[in-house]
Amino acid sequence: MRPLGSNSTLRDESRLRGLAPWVVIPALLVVLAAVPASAQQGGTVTGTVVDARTQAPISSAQVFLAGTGIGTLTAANGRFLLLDVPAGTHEIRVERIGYADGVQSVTVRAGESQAVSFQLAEDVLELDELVVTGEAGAARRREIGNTITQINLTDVQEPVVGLEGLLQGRATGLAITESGSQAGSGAMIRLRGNVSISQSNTPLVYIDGVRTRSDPYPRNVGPVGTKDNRSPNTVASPLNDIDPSTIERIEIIKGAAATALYGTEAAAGVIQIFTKKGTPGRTRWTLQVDQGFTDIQSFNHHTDVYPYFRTEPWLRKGYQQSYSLSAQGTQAGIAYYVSGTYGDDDYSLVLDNETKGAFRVNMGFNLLGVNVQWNTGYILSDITNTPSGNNSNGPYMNAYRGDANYVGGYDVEVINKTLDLEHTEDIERLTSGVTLTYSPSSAFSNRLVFGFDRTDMELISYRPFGYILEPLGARSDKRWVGQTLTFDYSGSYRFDLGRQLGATFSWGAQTVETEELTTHGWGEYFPGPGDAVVSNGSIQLASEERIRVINGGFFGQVRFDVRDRIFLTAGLRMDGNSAFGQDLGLEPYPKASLSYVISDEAFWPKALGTLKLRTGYGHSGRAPGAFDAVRTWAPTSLAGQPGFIPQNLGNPKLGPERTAEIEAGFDAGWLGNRVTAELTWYQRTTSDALFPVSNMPSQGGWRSQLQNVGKVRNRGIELSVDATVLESRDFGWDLGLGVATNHSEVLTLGGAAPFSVGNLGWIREGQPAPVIIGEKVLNEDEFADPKIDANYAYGPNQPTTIITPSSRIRLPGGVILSARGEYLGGFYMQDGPSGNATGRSIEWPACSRQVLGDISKAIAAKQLEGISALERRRCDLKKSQSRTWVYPGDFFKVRDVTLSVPVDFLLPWGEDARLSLTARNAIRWLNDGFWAFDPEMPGNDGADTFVRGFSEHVPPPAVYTASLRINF
Amino acid sequence: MRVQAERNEGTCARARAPAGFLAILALAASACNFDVTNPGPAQDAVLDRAESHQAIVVGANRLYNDAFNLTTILSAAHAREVFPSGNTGYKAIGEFNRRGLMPYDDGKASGQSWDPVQNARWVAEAGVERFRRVLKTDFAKSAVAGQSLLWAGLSSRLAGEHFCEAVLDGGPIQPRTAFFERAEKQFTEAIQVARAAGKKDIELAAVGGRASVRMSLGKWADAVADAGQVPLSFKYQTKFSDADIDQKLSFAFLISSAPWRAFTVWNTFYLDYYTQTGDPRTPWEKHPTQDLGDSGVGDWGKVPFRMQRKYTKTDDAVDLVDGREMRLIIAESYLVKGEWQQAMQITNELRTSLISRKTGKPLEPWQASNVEEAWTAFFKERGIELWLEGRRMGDRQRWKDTKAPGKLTVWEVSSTTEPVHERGRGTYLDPNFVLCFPVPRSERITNPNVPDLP
Repeated sequence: MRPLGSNSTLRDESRLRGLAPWVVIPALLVVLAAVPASAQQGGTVTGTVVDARTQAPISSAQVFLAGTGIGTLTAANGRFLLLDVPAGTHEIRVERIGYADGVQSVTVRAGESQAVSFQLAEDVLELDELVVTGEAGAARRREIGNTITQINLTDVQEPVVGLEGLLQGRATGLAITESGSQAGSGAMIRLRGNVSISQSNTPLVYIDGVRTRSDPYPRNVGPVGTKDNRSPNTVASPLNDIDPSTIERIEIIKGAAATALYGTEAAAGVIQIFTKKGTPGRTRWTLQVDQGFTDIQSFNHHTDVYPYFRTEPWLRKGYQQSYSLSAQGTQAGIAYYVSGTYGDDDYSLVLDNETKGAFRVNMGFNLLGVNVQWNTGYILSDITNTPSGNNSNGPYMNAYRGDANYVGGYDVEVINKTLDLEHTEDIERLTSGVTLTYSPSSAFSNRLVFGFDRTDMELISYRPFGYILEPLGARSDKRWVGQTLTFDYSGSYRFDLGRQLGATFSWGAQTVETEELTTHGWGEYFPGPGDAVVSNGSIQLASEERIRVINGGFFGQVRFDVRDRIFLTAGLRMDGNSAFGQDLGLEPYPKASLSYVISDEAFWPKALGTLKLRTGYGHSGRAPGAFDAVRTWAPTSLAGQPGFIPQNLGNPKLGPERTAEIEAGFDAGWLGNRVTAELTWYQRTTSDALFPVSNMPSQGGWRSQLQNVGKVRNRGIELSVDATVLESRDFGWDLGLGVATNHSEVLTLGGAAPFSVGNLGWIREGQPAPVIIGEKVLNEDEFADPKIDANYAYGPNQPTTIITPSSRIRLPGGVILSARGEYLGGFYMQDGPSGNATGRSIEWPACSRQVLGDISKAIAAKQLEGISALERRRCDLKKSQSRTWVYPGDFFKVRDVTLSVPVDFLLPWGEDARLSLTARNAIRWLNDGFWAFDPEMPGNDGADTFVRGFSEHVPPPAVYTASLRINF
Repeated sequence: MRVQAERNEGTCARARAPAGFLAILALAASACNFDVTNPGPAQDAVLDRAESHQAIVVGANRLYNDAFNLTTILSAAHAREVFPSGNTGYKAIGEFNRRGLMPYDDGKASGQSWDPVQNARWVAEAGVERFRRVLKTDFAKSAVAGQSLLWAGLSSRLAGEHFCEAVLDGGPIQPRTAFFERAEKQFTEAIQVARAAGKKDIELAAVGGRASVRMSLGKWADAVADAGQVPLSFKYQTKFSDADIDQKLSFAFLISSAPWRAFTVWNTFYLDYYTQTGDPRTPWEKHPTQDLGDSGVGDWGKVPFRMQRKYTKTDDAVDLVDGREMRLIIAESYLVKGEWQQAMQITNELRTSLISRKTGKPLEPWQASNVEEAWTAFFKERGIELWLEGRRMGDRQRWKDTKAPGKLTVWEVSSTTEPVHERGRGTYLDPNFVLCFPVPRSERITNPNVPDLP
């Protein structure tokens, strides 16, 4: 492997390297310096906030004087300091998620200091905590009949380097399989498995109420149409654009029972991200510096030779660094949060780098009785990728193919020449939203959100003149713009219907308009050396695509509450979408839920702890694509002449998939909430499922047409248990365990024929969606000739069991040791590189015990002793085929182990400082049947594909990070 | 051209919002405007317009080329016009096809050659029917109608020469002659329409096409009558293009070493034949830098890479109807009748009209002293004349069906001029290799009239 070191970027000059931290961060300082300092004369309030039961300090609790704009957050040692407090008597409040609020009265005299201490009682179930996801405005947890997961960043110990890594293993029913070996690559995110066969299964993502892009960005695929596909074969994810250091909390809702009010596009779930806001009081600064590196682990699990499958010269320890500075406070009536982050990350692939700058300004103020919150995030990201995946122009595929590669054999110097192929992606993204909240009374509130999310990308794939596999050179330049406009109004009115009965009516209307514009230039065959642009090509092509989709609707909801412990909610959303067929009207999505905090009843024995029962039912949907309903012909050409060929059969009755979900469960706390549990059973049925119904080839033309014919069911349970095993002032030990199951089944194809969905995935009645069908050696462990089932249904491709254990140990001195693991099991996937290699009679490391290819050679020589039936099939270079290389994908990884140590003593000028050392994915276990590579290695379309398999990439590495965070 | 995925304005009127919430109604109304115009793909009605008609014909030609690329590379391997030497993936010779097998179900839903051939046929026929509907009486003298009929006929012929059985328009399985019979009708109508339209090249191409399918149907008298109408110098070709990868001619693209060297002339009859005769119809040469294919061939490993040079550029044209082929149809008709001397005369006239690249002199004529030897010579000559034009596998199956006398060349021919390959011994063909492709699962699982196989 190569030593640590930053790579030489392929751009002449990165946009971001010009924006080095000493430019970004001082700019931030200048902005904040412009805010006038307070000149008030007053006293000070100091104090500590501790856990009432354990006396352990509570960090990041918000302490503020009601109605004054004065406030702060507690430091790691639980201390706080309020300056310039006007003389007089004030109500001082402390709020912290997971704890009941604290309120005290304090009298301050000018020039004097007052000490106040708070002991907060735990409220682990947080039944009175406000959540907004899936509701018409905010609602308390106790009122909601669905399970909602909330992740608070203040509870996260390890340095967070990406949103996907943050979510991993933190919510039951959430499966995230990452593909972190490549710069910019996105993970696959599934909430309760796949909800759709043909449409996106990625949850909707909202940032501060603004709908943003969640589907992957376009691939940096070579050029126009299918021309010359020489790609890095990775797909950047919009989620990577979100600076995790700016996130305050995340809310996740998983199914249609909860997402009904989001309508047509929410069947795959919703992730709501809330960024940090201004806090009352003086400016509080946070500086964080992260330094780390990546480390690739062995690929070969079947034998001990060639651990990296000959790719060592093109692997390295990638140096990663990040710097962020933020400030939050309140000045002149404006509560603000401002942050800037600069990162420069090398990856294990020899050219992969992402250089990113992210900026955020959030401001809140009151204007004529209307609360205005304006949040804006802006990122610039420059990504460089190594040609990888099933790309004959890349070093990895040529290394895997050994002497049978595309550059005349395994010669490091020759393969190095493939690195002249340049892949770059430049991303510029602005997400901004204004939320106006008007509450003329405590019973009546209105909220209006205008949001804008726009991404501009330039994706370049460039083989210069003289390139080893394209001597005359070629260049592709794709420009892509994606834009989402959100308009969202909701209101609610609450009134009492007697002493014990209340009702809250909610209503609202939303439109979301998405637009995508793609223009693509291609030039090949340059006249000579030099830096070429598309125009240098003697053959030039261009393409353009524009897609606009509008989704909109309105809803009404009523919630009755009885004695603040029984809550019955019913709602209906009506939705339309420009992609629906002409014969389709507005689509209704009903919902109903019941929540009962039974432990509030007088008859409930206190010894049984806290218990909330809940059940929910609702509908949600997924709209078809922009052109799916219309019969269209695609423009084409032949030797320069324009032509038409069939594109889409069309279906005027085409509508959304309809997902109905019922869930039931409980939230409970025992032993004074030292043990808490959530259990949910759910069943989700997608009817009118959009299946690409294959046309008879003999009727030609229209290969397949989306039709609302299918029916797919997912069901499972989700259990999370958190326990405080030990708790004292200096020592604590928390354990957590999440278990989630998800089993899908295609109930009917609606008369359609079974169909392939790629990577050996099939949609067949009575089978999981999708099921992996391949060749199976039935006697794989026997030392005998293989017995073959040519079309064996291995099982599901999506994980059916997810187990997420976690542990957090608090040691004296504020030292924290935490760990999280994740097991994903019960699924199968295809190993593309092995099948592709042995099918081409390439001597393969996984078929090698002593020297390269010795198993294959022994098979060819009919020396079969000690060679299993499975090896005889896979390693027989005359008979091996890719369909035999199917693995059980079960794996367990320790997602992170973090040691976090207070280092306040190093920084006397800071309020608190903490150093964290984290190892991510450093420990793993794979199923014995997983011969080579890694279950989280992506395929050619990245990780977010309907059927997961992998191509000639390299596995995601372990990442080691040291992080220093200072608050002052 | 624009596509409008329009919403009915009336749908919103059907929505009933709670009374009293006027503001909400206003907002709801704003949420109900789903009129969207997305440019790009053309709506079906656009193709009815006269300005679109030539583009329909070009589309049919384009799909014929796609079908040709995806099908003939496989049949060339099965018939050992070429030998596999590399990539088994994109547009190349698959793992099974390398051994001459075309599994009924290889795990892929789409028949990798059936679907594009049927697509080409159907689209050409759909164009014909559109023109018939739109042009009404003008159809009978429309050049575009004549062209579409020609592409329909050529696509049907391509299907007949490659598949073991026929299925048409969702119907039941029929003998593969159903493809030829359909082609015969299409060519016949194309001749009439093209003649009325004054398109002589279309007319002659259709006549030649009809001659070839009539030959396949055993209608020798009709075939000879048609063949006799086509001048010796006449060619009707389909032109490929460098504009994008899908338009490139696979026979050239797959050996362009950018990066693929997917097939070779090595281990075929044509390697030594060209070395010995210099026949300009079967040229090949060594690659200047790459002596081996781009990946291994089973347990043979990498094999010598010898590039065909009949097509040197990826935008070369391929003969679809050729006056020289017409002479061979006439020659074969004599062989069928046992009049082998006349057959040999025609065959050798064609042969000796060509100049050897090796000697600079006319090619040597074949020698035959009886009908079997004449058939043997004819088998070679037709294979040489139509090399890499997608005809050889169909010819072999036809001769097998009709039990034509004579000796076909052996399937894989070890070169006498090349070094012996280290591991390439015996034959790489599977003993059960096929000369026609079965109706695939993609048809069987979608067509209720075609039962799936157990």
